[in-house]
Amino acid sequence: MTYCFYVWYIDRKICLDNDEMAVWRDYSKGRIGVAEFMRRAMSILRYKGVPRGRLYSVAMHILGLYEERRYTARLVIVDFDWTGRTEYCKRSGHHMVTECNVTGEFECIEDVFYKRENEIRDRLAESLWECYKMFLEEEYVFIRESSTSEGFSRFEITKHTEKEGITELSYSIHSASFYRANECGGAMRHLEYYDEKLTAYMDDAVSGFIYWLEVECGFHE
Amino acid sequence: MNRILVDIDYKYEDNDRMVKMVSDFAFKMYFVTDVLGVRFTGIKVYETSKGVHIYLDYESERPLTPLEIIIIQLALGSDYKRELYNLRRARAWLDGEELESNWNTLFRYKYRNGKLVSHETVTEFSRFFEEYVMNRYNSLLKGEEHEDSM
Repeated sequence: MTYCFYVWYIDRKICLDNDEMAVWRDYSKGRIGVAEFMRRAMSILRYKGVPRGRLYSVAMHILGLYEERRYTARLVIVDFDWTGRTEYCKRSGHHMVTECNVTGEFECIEDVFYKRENEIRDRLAESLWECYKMFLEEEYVFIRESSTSEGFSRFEITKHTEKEGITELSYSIHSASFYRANECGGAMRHLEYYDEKLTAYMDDAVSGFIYWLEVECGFHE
Repeated sequence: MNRILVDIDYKYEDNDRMVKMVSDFAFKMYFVTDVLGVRFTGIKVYETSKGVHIYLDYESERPLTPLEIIIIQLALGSDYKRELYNLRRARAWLDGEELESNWNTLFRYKYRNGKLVSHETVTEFSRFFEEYVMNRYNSLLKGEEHEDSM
């Protein structure tokens, strides 16, 4: 995560990456002493072009802004459409075909997303799939699947934004629909009365994923 | 947006077969236009682990029904399993139910038990496919190339 601080009296925005920010964080939490803090902080600020004579005051000013969470973080909003499908057609009388479509969005720290997009997408896919299986088992008497397919037809950044003092990442499920065919050749019908329950399951899945993402983004120390 | 989605599970073995595959695809598009009046206006191609995903924009004087879309996709060489799954989705529509907007879809990222097994990628081949197909399709439409040359 990149943390950006506006230092009004030198009229500059100073951005620190996670490793640089750790110097202020460690001092704030008492993990390092003042001498080490000043030495490392001033070295970072000197490298970022803060003028001599201002290094000490800017380091302390950033410390104050950090502790009051008055920094901005660059975020991306990622939209996704996910489909999961299971099929069991081996024994007559036990036919079962199911499908679920989930659309939603989540926030992520911009630089974390760019560095780890594949891992983030795989993690979300795994969470949704595990949760869908759980939904089938718990709500539907799941029969062992003989064929499955799952995937994202959409997983893309739709917006870039900045937020001040961010402490958590938001997400939302836009829709979750459940379909079923009771016979292998039968029509896939949308069972609307399951949608609310499925939405709750998928909300849990994305919520767990978001917690993991927040840890990866440097929240929840 | 009007789109035909084609999933071809075929990997070319050599350059000659690759050119033939792409050339045949352009001719199939032309034949769809000739017979059904559906005109293709744009193409986007991605390579996948098994073959290619093709997204075709089209114009048609009358809107295409889901069944017509499925038949055109099959005619263009789309994976028969995928189109049969689409047909199963469309059966509810035939019975009078509303069809969801995402009934006809391709996975940009495909998973099995939560593990990534395929994803769409832009490659040299996919770029070649797009360019070659649209050039040949347009020259067939203009009558610059004779059908008998197939």
